[in-house]
Amino acid sequence: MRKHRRVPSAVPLVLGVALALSPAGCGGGGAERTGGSAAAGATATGAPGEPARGGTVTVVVGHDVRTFIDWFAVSTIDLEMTGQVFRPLAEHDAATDELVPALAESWSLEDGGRVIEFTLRDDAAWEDGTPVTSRDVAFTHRMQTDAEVDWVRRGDKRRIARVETPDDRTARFVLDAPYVDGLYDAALGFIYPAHLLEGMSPAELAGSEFAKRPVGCGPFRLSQRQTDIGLEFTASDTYYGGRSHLDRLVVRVNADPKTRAILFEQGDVDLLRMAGTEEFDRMAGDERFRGFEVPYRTFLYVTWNVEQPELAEARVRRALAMALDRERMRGLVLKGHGALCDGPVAPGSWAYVAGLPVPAFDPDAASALLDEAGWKDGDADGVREKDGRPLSFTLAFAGRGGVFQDTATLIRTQLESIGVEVKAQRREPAVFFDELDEGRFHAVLLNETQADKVDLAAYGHSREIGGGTNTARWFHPEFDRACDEAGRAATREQALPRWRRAQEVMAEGQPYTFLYYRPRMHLVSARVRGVEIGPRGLFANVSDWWISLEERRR
Amino acid sequence: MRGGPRLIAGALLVGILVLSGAVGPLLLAPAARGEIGAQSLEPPSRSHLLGTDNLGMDVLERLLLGARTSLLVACLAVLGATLIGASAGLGAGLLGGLADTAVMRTVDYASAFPQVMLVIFLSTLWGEGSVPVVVAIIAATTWMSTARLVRAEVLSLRETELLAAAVASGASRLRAALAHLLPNVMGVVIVAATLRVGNAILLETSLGFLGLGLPEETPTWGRMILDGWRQLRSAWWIATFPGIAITLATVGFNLLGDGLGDAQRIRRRRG
Amino acid sequence: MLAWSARRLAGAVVLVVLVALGSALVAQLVPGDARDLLAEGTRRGASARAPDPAASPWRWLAGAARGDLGQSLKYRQPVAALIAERIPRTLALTVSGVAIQLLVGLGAGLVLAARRGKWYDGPLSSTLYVLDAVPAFWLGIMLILVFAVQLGWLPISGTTGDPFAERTLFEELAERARHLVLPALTLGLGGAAVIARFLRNSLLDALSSGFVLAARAEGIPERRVVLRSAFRASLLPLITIFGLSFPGLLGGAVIVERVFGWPGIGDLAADAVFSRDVPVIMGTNLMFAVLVVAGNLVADALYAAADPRIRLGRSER
Repeated sequence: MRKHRRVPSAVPLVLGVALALSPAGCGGGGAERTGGSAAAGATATGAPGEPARGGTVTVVVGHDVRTFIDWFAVSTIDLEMTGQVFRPLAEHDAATDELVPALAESWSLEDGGRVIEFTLRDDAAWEDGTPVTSRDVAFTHRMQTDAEVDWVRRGDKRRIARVETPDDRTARFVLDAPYVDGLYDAALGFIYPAHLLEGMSPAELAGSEFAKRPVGCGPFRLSQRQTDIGLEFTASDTYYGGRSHLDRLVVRVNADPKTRAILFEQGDVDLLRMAGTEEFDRMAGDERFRGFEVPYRTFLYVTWNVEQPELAEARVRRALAMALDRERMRGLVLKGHGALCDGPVAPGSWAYVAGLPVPAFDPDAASALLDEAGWKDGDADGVREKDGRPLSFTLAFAGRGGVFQDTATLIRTQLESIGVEVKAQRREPAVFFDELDEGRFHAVLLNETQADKVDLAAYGHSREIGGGTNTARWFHPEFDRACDEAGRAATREQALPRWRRAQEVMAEGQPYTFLYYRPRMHLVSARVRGVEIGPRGLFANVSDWWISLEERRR
Repeated sequence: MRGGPRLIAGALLVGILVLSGAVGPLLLAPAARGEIGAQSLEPPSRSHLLGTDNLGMDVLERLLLGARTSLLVACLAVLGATLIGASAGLGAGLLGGLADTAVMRTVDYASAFPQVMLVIFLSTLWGEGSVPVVVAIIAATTWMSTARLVRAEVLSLRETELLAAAVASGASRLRAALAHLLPNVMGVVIVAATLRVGNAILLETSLGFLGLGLPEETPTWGRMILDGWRQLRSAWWIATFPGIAITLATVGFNLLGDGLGDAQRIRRRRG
Repeated sequence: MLAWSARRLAGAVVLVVLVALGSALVAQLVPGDARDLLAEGTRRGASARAPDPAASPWRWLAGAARGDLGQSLKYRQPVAALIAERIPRTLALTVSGVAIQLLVGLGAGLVLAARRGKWYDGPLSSTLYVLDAVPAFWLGIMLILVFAVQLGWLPISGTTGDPFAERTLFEELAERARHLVLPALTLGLGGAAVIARFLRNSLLDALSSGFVLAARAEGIPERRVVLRSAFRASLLPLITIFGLSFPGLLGGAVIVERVFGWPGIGDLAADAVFSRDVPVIMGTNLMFAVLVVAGNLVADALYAAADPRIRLGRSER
């Protein structure tokens, strides 16, 4: 049986709290660290007592961590667990849409923003004692941009010309030209130890022992793992942010979502990621648990293929959008959770514009608009025609969840009521994506997770048509122009009016009808104190989590 | 139970199942299918004898609709498997030599895969399944035992006087073979086929349980158990009753098959 | 004997090779590849790129002979390593399942044969009959419902609780055993019924045979008569049945592993099929073929060792 750790004397605790709270010095675009602190955590839950050292929190996830190297990672679980052990230069806080210092304690912009100079902390070190230096940053950048490594987000780094390392604590990112997201792109990605990984080929790296048993510099280190069964992280005493209160973080693997929910409800695990609506509603009100709902990350939307004759006219697409009562759909499909989505730019983003000219729910106006466009039901069979061709098409989707099926069914019935015949069909992903890429579809229902940057151009820019991300194959010269200008702008103030115009144009053109945000709902056992789960991620303040002595198990 | 009672019991059970599957849903009071969310997850009660599922649909109704689908698929699959297997077995037994070896090696080869794995593998090749596809897949994985059986029967009958007499009386070898072998082989084949229906039901429902096979909208017992498993804590009835139905169906067909087998053995002994 | 075994062995190897080739060829037909499934519902442009699947089946086979089964598209790890990791777990499950199958099956069969006419003969027979008809995955779910969810005596899924908790050897074994109970029962009970019924019939036949009657006449106690003479007579066919049910056992493991969240070979194989992870599909198929063929070989060898007639001559089974 594990012995209880005795609550340490106040001094190291206070020091730890002080470190956590200290605002990191910053220039240019940096911001104060706003992470939750231990003291704040204790009072936030209303629980008495100070954070106590020790204890184990158990999480259950759907599959094992496949790699700890984020250049090869594809799933959120991989990234979340990697984040326990590794740190980036700076982290993105989606709530404030600002960067928060991590391995870099400060940064400054030079040459009108063309050069970003990061100053690394001097107290960050790898588990083997080697300090984290700019050599690690340069190495990481090389790997992130390597063609053979082929990182998913490699494209985000393409406007960085090179990384200079004048001394151990300084890393200078030289951009091709200053642009709004330069800072974000430079700081993107976890930093890896050059002294341990340099010299290995990408293939070797992917299959390396390091990828399975990493050596990191984060709040935790991986102490044990059993493939497909679980992982054990123990608190790192050398973490620059101060030793976390918890002793251990145990991750259990179970592939079945319902079993995970049962394990949580029975108290075998303390954290349930991505709970379903039914479980969340049932358990969030229970005093044994706390529920967190993170909005604005993943949204559902319809893509209209504007190259199809039936959907070529913007007013037809607007009419179709007008026939959808999105609020009602959200109530039925998401049981009232989540929020309506009007575009790919989320409310938390700096480029968010409220009040876009998105078609409002108005089935009569929709009918009128279709009549105006020449689509009428001449033969009274319930389906409109024009020039002998019926307004009929397939709405395809590949996602396996009930949300897709239910949404598609609701779209079908609502469009039916204004005389549009829709066939809602689930397709095999392979077939689905082939058809999507080649434009052999009419309408599809897709899921997208918000990027931290404004990636509006990806949706509607003409250069992304045909195998790219502009799946609607929509072209609007004003949209292209606005996006190009925004991309070249050096500051947010300059870019904002362009993004606003681009969003307005897209809302009018309706190549996509955005539906709603699917919330991420997480449940935590109330015995774990200090947990703050928000847009910064599930484990954003894991170092501050604690469990009181009485509530510990082992 | 022996002999007669088994046959009757089996026939009765199967008859009830087939009937309820065919006619049942029509006789039920129109249970309001309802919007998503209405009356969902209700335990067995007077109005919903077996409860409702998460979409508000009456479990009994879904069960009966599923009976239709599952029984249809299973019977068709067994029919297909029997046809394939019998032809292969006949060919192997009659032709002998190279053909025989070829067929038997294929049978061995195909039997080397666990049936369930093969079924899963084949169904993902076809993506969204439909009744013909699922029937074909199950038939393709279960014909082997029939082939072996038929071949064994043919081999044992080949040497008897029946065939020799037929040939001697001038009929062509093939016609003689078919005319005289078939009736004798038939009996064994029918019994075996009946006993195989249970296995076919099991395969089809396993597919449904894994989320493969027939599409989501088609009601099938396997899919119901999958849905029920998801709700095991809150709604035990959704998973329980389909399983009972599957068991009853399999028991029914097994009883029927055993009964037929007994009857046939008695008939054979009498000559 | 030697010639016979050599022939059987050669035949087995050929079979395995054919199976491997066949599955390799069919696997090439699998539509789409792993990266599409990684993207699932999302926009293609951001999806991960996966390396191309194995080239020709021949090259793969040559590699397989060396022990190199390629790289998993989904896990980016050597297939052989993935399989090796999981075999012990599936073995633990199947061995336990077989143990239950034999214990319950042989036990019930013996009881039914030796104690005919007792009051429990009928109900026991019927229970076995029904047990044979019950679908395995449903049985597993029902066991979970009763013993794990409602009564809470046994765990719901997985091989162990907290994998890293400090436990004594005894505690660790107990924990593992607790998790094994329901899956092993699910796997074994169905097959137990078959064995029980078969054993009962064959024992009854043997018990009424001449030489047993003679043994009885000599005054040898009933129990010895049953256990020694009659039992030995049933051994051969029992082995055959066992060998033939091997593929079924593996297939059953697939379903049981899924129901109980057991991270074994069956789970890997099924998951690979769903994710179109072609190298893993081929690797696991090969594994299954090897296991089945090996099982048959062992059964045949045991059979031949017991029955001298087999060793000489007959080329057909």
